[in-house]
Amino acid sequence: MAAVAGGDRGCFERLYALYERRVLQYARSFLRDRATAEEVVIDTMLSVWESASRFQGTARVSTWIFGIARHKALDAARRVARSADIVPLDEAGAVPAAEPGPEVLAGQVVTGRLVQAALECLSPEQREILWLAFYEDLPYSEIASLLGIPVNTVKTRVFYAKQKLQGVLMRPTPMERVS
Amino acid sequence: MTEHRERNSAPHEAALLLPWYLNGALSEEERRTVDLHLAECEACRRELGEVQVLRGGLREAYEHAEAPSANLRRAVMTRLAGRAARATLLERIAGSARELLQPKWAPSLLVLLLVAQFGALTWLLLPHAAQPITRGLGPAHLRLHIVFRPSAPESSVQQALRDLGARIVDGPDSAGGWIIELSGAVPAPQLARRLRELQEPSGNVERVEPIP
Repeated sequence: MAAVAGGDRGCFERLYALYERRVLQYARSFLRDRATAEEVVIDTMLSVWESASRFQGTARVSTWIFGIARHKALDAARRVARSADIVPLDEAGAVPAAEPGPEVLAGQVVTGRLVQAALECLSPEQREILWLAFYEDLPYSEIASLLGIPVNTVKTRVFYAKQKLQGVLMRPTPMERVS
Repeated sequence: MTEHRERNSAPHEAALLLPWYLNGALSEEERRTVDLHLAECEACRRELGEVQVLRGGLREAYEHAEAPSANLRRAVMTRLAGRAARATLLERIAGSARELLQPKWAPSLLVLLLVAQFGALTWLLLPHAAQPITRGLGPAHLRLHIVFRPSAPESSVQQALRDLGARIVDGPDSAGGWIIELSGAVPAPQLARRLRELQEPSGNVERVEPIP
């Protein structure tokens, strides 16, 4: 980060390569529209370049970058929600997507495809926290700092988001309901 | 489903820590506490298995999520180059401004300002060649000592003064004479003729002579 702060373009390009996909995925927790999520990636990474000197090293680089991305994504989500012809984010989380099949979780493989579909049934808040805890592997203290909530809220929010995801994964498909 | 949900009760503290137990983000003490709890709680052991499976599914889902557009990176780098160019230009302008205000320039700038100020003051205070020098007194006037005939009526005296363009400035003296001052409004030849007329025997003036 010090090199990026010093204006080293090569270091920034390496940092960008590490975070491009991750920031996009994180932004997709809030935004259904891919193009808008990509705009968030652009804004986030430009902010990282311009404010790298303000990174103090008290948190992980990823926590700092996701903090910037979160603000950008929430701003974008608010702009999208204001558009009349687009489903607001909060409602979007409640709209069930493709129905995943039943899964007996313990001891079985849950495919990424099923989980991807199930995630669409969660709220943006739940998708966000599952991403941070299960993919980014951030400690709960850093998630709390990133989201501005108490650590106990982080623990319970992850627990209940996980429960909801499991619930969605265990729903029977329409075919199974017929049989 | 775990017993936590079946009983609809609050989850165990250890169950809440399981995501971080699996990713190794717990402190040593927290990890020991979870280990001890798992050894005696079957519900939490089952929960751990579920979290493990779900974690695998989530990571697979995220790994296989759509990739960024091919031109996303190019878009970022292009905008970055644009901003860097603007920043360089601003930096150059700021650098020039700083150079101008460097301490080595300051004394010269101060001297220049003082010289300019001194010049301006001098220009304001010194008389300008193009302007005429004026004094408190007006242009010199010709003064005459004039003695009117005792028979001259006052109206004739006043008329004579008007004709000469003169006014009485002093008198009468012991000889009955007056000092008059000519304004210069009457042309010299006309003035001379008028004075001669006034001194003729039929005139009102006994005598007139200039005061040096």
